Amino acid sequence: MPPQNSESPSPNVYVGLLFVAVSALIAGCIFLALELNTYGWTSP
Amino acid sequence: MTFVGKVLVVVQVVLSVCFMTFAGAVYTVQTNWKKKADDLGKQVASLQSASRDADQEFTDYKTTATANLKAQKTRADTFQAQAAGLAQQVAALKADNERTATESNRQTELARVANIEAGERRKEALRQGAVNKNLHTLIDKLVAQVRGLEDAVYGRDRTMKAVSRRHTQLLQQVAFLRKVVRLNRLSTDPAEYAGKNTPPPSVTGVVLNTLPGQRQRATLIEISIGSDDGLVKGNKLDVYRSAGKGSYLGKIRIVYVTPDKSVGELIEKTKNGVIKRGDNATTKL
Repeated sequence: MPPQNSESPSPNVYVGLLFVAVSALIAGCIFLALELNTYGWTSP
Repeated sequence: MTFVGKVLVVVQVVLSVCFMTFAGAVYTVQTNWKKKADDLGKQVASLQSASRDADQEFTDYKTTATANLKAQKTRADTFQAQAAGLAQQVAALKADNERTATESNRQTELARVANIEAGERRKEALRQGAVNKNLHTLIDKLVAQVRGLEDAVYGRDRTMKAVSRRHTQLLQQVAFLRKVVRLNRLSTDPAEYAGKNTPPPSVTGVVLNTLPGQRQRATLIEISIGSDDGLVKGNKLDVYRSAGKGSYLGKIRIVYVTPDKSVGELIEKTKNGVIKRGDNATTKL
């Protein structure tokens, strides 16, 4: 693939891994929110 | 990118995946304790409510049961009193029943005896009916005899009246004749004429006693024979003495007679001797 812009780095596998990590964090936060929702968001 | 950046990226990815895995696992397999606590709280409330209801129901039931028990006790007392009264009534009725049974037996026996008596009375009535029939027949015969006897009595009455008239005539005639006899100074005593008309029986007696008259001669002589021997007033007896050669002493006429003795008066005197005790008097000469 010919470089179109030398200043803009090209995404590699690590970027993909970062997206995967962000997706996993979002999913984990959703699960925790749902869990807290079952308790009514009350503080102990 | 440096090597450290790469390692950190990999570690971040691994930890993010682990975080997501644990969060998903917690969400998936966790136990909802709040819901369970709420359910248990609701269940406890329900049970408490049920318990209160049960307590109230128990209290109501207890009150009702107490009232019922009291009422039942009252009823039981009443029933016991009634039972006692009924027992007394039963005893009285039993006694009455026994008395009634005894009276019934006695009445039955009396009825049986009365029935037997009625039967005997019927038989007796039949016998009396036969007897009455015979008596009626006899009465008819006797009535016929009575009528015959009444006829005879009537005839006898007529005869009696005729005889009475004849008797009256004869009495008047007898009175007239007695008057004639008294005017002629004759006795009307039949005994004085009996010895004259009737021959004396052939008897012999002994002089028992004498009543001396003038010159020591006996005028009244008692002898040992009387009316039982056939002597009557007026009979004449000869007096004699059988001692020695025997001598005729006189004749006496009976003037008084008793059954075994008699008294005579001396009507003929002789000079052969004086009549004494032991001389004989007889009608055989």
